[in-house]
Amino acid sequence: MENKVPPKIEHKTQEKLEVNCEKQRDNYSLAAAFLPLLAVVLWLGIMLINALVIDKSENEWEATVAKKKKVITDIYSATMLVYGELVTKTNYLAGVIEKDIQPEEVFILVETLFPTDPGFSVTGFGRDKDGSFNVTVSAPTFLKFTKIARRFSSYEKIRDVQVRGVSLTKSNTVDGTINFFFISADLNSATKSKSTSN
Amino acid sequence: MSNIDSALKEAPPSDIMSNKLMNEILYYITPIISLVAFLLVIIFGVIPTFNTLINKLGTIEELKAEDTMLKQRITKMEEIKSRVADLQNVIAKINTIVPEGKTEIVKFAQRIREEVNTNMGRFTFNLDEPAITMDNIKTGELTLATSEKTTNGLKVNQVPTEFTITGGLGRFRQFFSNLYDGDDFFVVEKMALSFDSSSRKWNGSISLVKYQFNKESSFNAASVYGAVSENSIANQKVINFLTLKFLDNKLNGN
Repeated sequence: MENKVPPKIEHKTQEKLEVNCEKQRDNYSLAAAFLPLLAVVLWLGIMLINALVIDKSENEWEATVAKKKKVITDIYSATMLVYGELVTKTNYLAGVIEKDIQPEEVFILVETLFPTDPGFSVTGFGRDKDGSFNVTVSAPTFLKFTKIARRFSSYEKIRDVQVRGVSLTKSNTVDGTINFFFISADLNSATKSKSTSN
Repeated sequence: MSNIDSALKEAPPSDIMSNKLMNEILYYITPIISLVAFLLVIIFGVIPTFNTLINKLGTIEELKAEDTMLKQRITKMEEIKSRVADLQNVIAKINTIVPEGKTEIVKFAQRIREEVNTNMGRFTFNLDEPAITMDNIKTGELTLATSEKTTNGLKVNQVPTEFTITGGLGRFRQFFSNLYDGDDFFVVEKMALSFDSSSRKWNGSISLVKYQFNKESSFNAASVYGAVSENSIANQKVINFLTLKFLDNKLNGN
């Protein structure tokens, strides 16, 4: 296709385009020159917020916390020493208290299990270092001894019932030892009620 | 003729080229410098300041949380303070029954001797039985009561008092009950009572253990007790035991 635009007109159009392009580049350069300024303004803005709002708030909260800590130190430290002693000592004694089962419990146990004439005799009571109690029984027959042992094992306030050293004696009685542990929680209430009744 | 045409005609071609080049450089260099300055301010100014701001906001949140926690602590401590008199009673009782010196332990051995001859007591049993006689009473060696290692310089020691005893079963029961009704805390560590059919008496060997708090030289009450949090809980079993056995009884005048 033939170019029908005269060369002079084409030249002028080219010039105009160049001028416009240069103007546009001027604008871009000017805008780019403002970028650092914009960044500095942004920076200053953040610094102002930091100084006037955030720092103030932080200082206030720090003062509030420090005040409360001072209250704890000044007013409650003596109380906390008392409480600390209580917690420390009670926790130390927990294991010791658990061992505290009165020998009376074992006597009461036999009376509770066999309230009437039992038809056998108790020839020994004991406690071992592991905390277990034992009752030594002398029964007329093996069957009777078995019934006694069964009564012990079915009693809910003791646990780990074991029969040891069962033998037939020269006097024709069956002697043996019944070993068990008290369940301490139930025991305390039992002791208390017994004590009250007495 | 346009201004550009006239300028082109007037200026030598080399100058024109040089001006053009300068203009081109300025056009490209200025935005680049501006961009670099912008980035420098952003990287070394805005971002660190913004980070500081964020950190401070985080610190404020932490302070708020700490404040809430302190409020809760104060409420809890106030509640503890309101019953500090009761707590001191319990501690006083603990210090009585588990003393810090050995004097009480020596006194305990003496008390055992005395109780053997006492026929009166809260419990009454068949006292038409042979009286109790006691032999070989001796205080054993002091050992640690718990196997747990202590790190704060406080420990519980145990001292056994061993003896043999002979008499009627009712008397034994009376003897034990009287001992338990007293102000001493002890545990029957070992007991072996057996009936002797020939003498119609009960014989026994008994070991009663009394406990003692022992403070090592490294013990510092303020740091040990002061380090206990208000959220820690005193052992309720021990409190119940003391209340039931010592404090309530005393309050009721029994």
